[in-house]
Amino acid sequence: MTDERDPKVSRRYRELGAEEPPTGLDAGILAASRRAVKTRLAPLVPPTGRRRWYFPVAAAAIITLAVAVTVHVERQKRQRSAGRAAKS
Amino acid sequence: MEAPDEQLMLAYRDGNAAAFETLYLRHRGRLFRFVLRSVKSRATAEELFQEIWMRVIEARERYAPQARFTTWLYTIAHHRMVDHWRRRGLSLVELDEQDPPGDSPDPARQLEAREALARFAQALEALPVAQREAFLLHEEAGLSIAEIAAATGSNAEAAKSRLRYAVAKLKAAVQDD
Repeated sequence: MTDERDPKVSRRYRELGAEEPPTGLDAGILAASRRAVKTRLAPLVPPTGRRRWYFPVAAAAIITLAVAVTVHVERQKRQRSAGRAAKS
Repeated sequence: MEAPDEQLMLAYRDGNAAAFETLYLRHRGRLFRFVLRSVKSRATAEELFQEIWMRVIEARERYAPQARFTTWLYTIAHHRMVDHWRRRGLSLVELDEQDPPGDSPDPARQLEAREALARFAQALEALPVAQREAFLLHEEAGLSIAEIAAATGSNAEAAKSRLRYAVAKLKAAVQDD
């Protein structure tokens, strides 16, 4: 690299100071960098190996949970209406 | 041995957040001073500094190591600074709250050193934007003439000429002391 520096100019320039960004700003930028890689889009290539099972298992778990909640809510409704009928 | 910048950026592109942190810590000081010495206030410098890094984060998917990472980083910085200058004009950060360097306890000499530094800062501030940018990219960021040309979208002759004019003017300011 051709160095066009002048020693006196460089020295005086350094004397201006070695300011740094505030730590709060560092933290914000680093947090944004971490968020960015966490929220990456799903790959277009289908997952292989063990990761192949993640989506079916997760889907099955969600469906099971949804069915369980629906059954529970229905059962509670029936119990409430049976209770009201008994009172009247 | 430390990993090269380009390797770290590729690792970050592929999802390694720790690689970005290493890269950021390596470049934060120089980039911050480059921005700070190009604008009027510290608050503006902080805002621009943050925006430049956000652009780096956003551009990670498109990153390909065709040049040094530093050149790529300062190309992004140059574009952001050009947007800023277009909107607001330019000035240098104030030196009011800075102490002059040196270990002389003599108040007269301290005052002299402070005035010399202020004159230098004024000379830097008085440079045309392109000359000052070329100087800061060379002096602060360590870019070569070819890299300054690449980062600023000019040619090597223009970059060299800007840098030489800048150094000559600053040298005159130093010799006036």
